[in-house]
Amino acid sequence: MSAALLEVDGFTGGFENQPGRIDPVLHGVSFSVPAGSSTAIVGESGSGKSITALSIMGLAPGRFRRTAGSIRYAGQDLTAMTEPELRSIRGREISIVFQDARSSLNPVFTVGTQIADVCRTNRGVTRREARKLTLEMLDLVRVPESRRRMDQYPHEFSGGMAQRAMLAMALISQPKLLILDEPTTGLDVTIQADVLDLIVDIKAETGMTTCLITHDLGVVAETCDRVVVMRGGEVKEIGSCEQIINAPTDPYTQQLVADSRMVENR
Amino acid sequence: MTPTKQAPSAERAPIALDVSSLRKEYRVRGAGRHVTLTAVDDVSFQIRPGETLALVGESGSGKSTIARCVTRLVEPTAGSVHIDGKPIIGISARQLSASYSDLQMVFQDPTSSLDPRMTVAATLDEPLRLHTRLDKEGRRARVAQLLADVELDESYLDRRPRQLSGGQRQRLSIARALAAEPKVILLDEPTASLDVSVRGQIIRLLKRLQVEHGLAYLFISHDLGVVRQMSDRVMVMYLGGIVEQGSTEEVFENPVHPYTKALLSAAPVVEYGREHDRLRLTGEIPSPMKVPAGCRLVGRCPIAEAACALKRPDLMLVTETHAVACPVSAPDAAPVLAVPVP
Repeated sequence: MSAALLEVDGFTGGFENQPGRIDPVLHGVSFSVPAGSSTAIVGESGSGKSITALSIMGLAPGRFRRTAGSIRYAGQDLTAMTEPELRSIRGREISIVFQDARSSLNPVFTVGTQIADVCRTNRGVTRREARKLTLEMLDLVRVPESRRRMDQYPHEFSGGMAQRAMLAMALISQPKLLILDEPTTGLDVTIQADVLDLIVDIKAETGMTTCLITHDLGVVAETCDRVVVMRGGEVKEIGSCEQIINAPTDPYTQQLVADSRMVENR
Repeated sequence: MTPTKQAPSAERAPIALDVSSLRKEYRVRGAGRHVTLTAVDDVSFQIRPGETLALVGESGSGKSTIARCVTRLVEPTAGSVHIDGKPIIGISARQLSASYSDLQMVFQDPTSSLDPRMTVAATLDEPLRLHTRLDKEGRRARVAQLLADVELDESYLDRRPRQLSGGQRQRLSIARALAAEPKVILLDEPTASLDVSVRGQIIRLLKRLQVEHGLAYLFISHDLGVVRQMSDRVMVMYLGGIVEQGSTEEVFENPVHPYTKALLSAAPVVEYGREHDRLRLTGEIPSPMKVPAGCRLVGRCPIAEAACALKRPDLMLVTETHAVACPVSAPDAAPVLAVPVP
């Protein structure tokens, strides 16, 4: 197996809901994301998958406290970094795309302006170059009529198009690791399939590493090669996608696969 | 070819929910002037007791508007809705509230459809006071029975919704719907907010209750897996119109309409290394204010012919129970006004 780009090791923490008392939510979470892989973190609500993903980005809510463990990215411990150090990695080396794209966009600026802003911050280009780059990025994520659409506001974008725009924004810095937090949840199935195809294609073109956070094993089966199954703040099973889908060993994973199959379209 | 209307068969079970030529238009301002948006365009269907009809479609298909019209949460522009032979449209608010004892709803998000301040006991007592003549003792016994029906025990009686899990809240919503002993329950995405493990339990519960109480379900969902599990018949909608309808088996195993094919082949499957044989539509679903004049799928359809843009296709029978609105996919089929209810 290739070297791990990201290594989460014994990561433990909880919410400080009352001062001095920490309600644990993550219990020694350990997994690695090999360079070039498409790793999925799968779990139901309350499994800790999202808080784990947010912790990688240093974006966990303010009341979250790490009590043990580390998250190493390319050998550096992200949990030991200062905010400025983290900022040099976040959005540059590691990008994230969230579930509800339209609420991630600012409603009072055009989509193009928002993408161009990221170009100028992350690539240090001029205004004119940023606009050109924005157009290239929108073409990359297959937004039709990109020249016209870049001057539209988020409310003029459908959910699927808004998610493409967010993807464009996340890709500007040519990140090595792209975290996708339920990127297609809430989209219609035909739109979901288009967005997933796009992610798979871009990954193949750029060779970047992806980490997909999802509750949907169907999405995992169609897009990922490695799977981390989480439940109740613990990692239950790690394996190749083929092994997890075809021969899960952990009882919870077995149940999850069986339940997912029961309600699927076949 | 003239459309043929099927003769009603007298000996069959009565129709629980009969929706006929339902139409809903909205006047909206588009490009500075008023235009008419047709959210539901002449939709008819019938459901028998003990049967589940699923309405499937993506955003903008009109499935939720149908639900709102059937429950008269919005007034339809035209058409009729009958529950067990009694009209729902064109009756007074007082008559309508009496009709709600025959027609109940379970919504997607139990967190917002339950009153956060009402205990489980109070939530279930309210419909009994409205729709039955039971006294206090009788209602208490019935509440206990309703809880047992949805597999919750009496220790939950004094809890409030926030003290219940998502699955338990949805069970409570189902019990509340059952309280009035309805003939028809409208299930609007009842499992969409639930984890997959809980989803299966709720489906099994709904199926058991259907058999025990002879309920007719109008099941609205975008989740094709759940639809396949739950329903006897499926109606696929696109931009306010029916594009295909038939038995669940027929629609899933032998989809005919290009939109149905695209929808079914886009759904992700829990299977490693599946060969992808996806039928793709081009572009995005158009704005409901710019529905194409002919077939609604024109502009996105891979098999469209010139004639498709000119005339809105009728529903045509491909088998006795399977109809599709696509003359290109089913050139030999006969047009019908309504598909016979099996």
